[in-house]
Amino acid sequence: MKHIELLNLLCRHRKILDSAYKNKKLLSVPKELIEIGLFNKIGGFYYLNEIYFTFVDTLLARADFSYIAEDFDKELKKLIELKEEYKLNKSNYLKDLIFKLLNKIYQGMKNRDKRLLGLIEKLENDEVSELEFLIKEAKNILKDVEEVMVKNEMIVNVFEEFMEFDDFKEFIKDILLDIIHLNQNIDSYLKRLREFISQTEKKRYFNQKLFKIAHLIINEDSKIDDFLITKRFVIKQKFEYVPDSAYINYEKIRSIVGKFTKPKQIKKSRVKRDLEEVISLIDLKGLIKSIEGSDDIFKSIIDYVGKIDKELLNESVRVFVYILNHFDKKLTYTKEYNEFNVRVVKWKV
Amino acid sequence: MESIIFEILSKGIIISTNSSKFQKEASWLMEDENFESLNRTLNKIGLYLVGENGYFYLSKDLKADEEEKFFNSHKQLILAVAQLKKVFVHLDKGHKIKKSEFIKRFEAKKDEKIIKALFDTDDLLEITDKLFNLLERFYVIEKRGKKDEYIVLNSINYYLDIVDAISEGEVDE
Repeated sequence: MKHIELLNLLCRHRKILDSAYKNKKLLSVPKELIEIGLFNKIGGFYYLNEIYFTFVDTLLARADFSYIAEDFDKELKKLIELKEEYKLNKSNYLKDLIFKLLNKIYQGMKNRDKRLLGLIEKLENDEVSELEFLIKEAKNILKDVEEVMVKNEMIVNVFEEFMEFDDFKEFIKDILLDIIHLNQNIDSYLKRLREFISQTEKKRYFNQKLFKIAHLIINEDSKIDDFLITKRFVIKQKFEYVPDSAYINYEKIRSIVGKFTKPKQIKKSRVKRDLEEVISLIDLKGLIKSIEGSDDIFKSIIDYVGKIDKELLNESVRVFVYILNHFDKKLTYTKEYNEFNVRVVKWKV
Repeated sequence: MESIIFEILSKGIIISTNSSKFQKEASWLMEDENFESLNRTLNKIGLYLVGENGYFYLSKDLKADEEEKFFNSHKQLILAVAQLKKVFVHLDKGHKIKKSEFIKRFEAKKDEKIIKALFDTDDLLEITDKLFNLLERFYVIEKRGKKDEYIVLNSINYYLDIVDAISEGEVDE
């Protein structure tokens, strides 16, 4: 079968493939898809070949918790061996083999980067799984990513060693910057994972405390009443009901207290908007559109936010930090600072 | 607007900035000038306008005989929130929840003692309705667009902060 015929076949059965991708198993599938090995029958059901999942998930930057990040250990060992051989014998055959391996590791790292990002986003967006499960998974992924980080440094070192050969110099120069950037991504994934674990552990601890207190309330434990009544909680008690008929008519109150008492200095109490609220107010899609290609993201945010609502300008720094956290891969950090004393961050071309 | 807001707050209602029902009132209160002016007036009659992370309420120093009633209503709400959080472990302000999803997950996550303390029924649908009604009545959740969907209002943190403020020493043996 030719490649184009395979593409036609996949296209013809796209609905079946989509269903198998979503539902994981099917009761029946067309014979021709089984013949090319795209489906395997296990215990009465047809399952999509894992190769298909790897291909699609990589392109769509998705990963489920069964994904294990590759470390290219074997490939790297082989590459070191070939390098030693190449020093003695600069044959075309060895050259091709080295190019293939360098490419395999480099592209593998890029693919892994996409899937790791997908995996972390899956963790962060999971609002259904048990907290215990998520913490356990996140810790496993963290361990994996930490190992990847160490291996990545080794990869960079080995790649750099190939700079001594003229045949590979240009190629290594081309990809090295990108590989260093991939390493920076790994570093940011580590930070996100640690933050996720810490936040989820806090959430779990809080839930446990809430359930414990709920049961103390049910058991009419005097400790809770003591706390609520005598010790008070740090926040002020909410005003529950109107204690005096004089309070009912606000206009009357105002006219009375306005005449007979002097204004008192009050403690300022402010409500800070939630970041999520701010993000929904500014229309994130519109913002992204306006900062794409920008040479100074912070300044573009100010321009954009100012057009939406001048009052939201105070939130520009928080919006900026939000963009840095969520679109890190698309940004380039320069060493310069703008007139607001904020680091100049550019959108990658 | 001041008297409208006073009417609402004096009923013990917490105005959340993510509430659709009190959108105008919340926007008005978010203006520093408005907030301070209303607070100044209320201070003179022994009330405080409090604005915390995304919600507003009125507070006052309680007299001894008012405390019991006040805390009892809080206990009920803390129990209801605890049961809701058993079902939706990630529950937080701004989240959208569905009654149908609650019903689906409830059996596995039911806290018998909490339910028994709150409602005198074993009927799943009745429990769901009563729990959602209780939380809606105290403006912890609010119905949104779709028939089955509710949004968790910022005010949930008022109750969670009470739990947070209780130190471990006070609840541990």
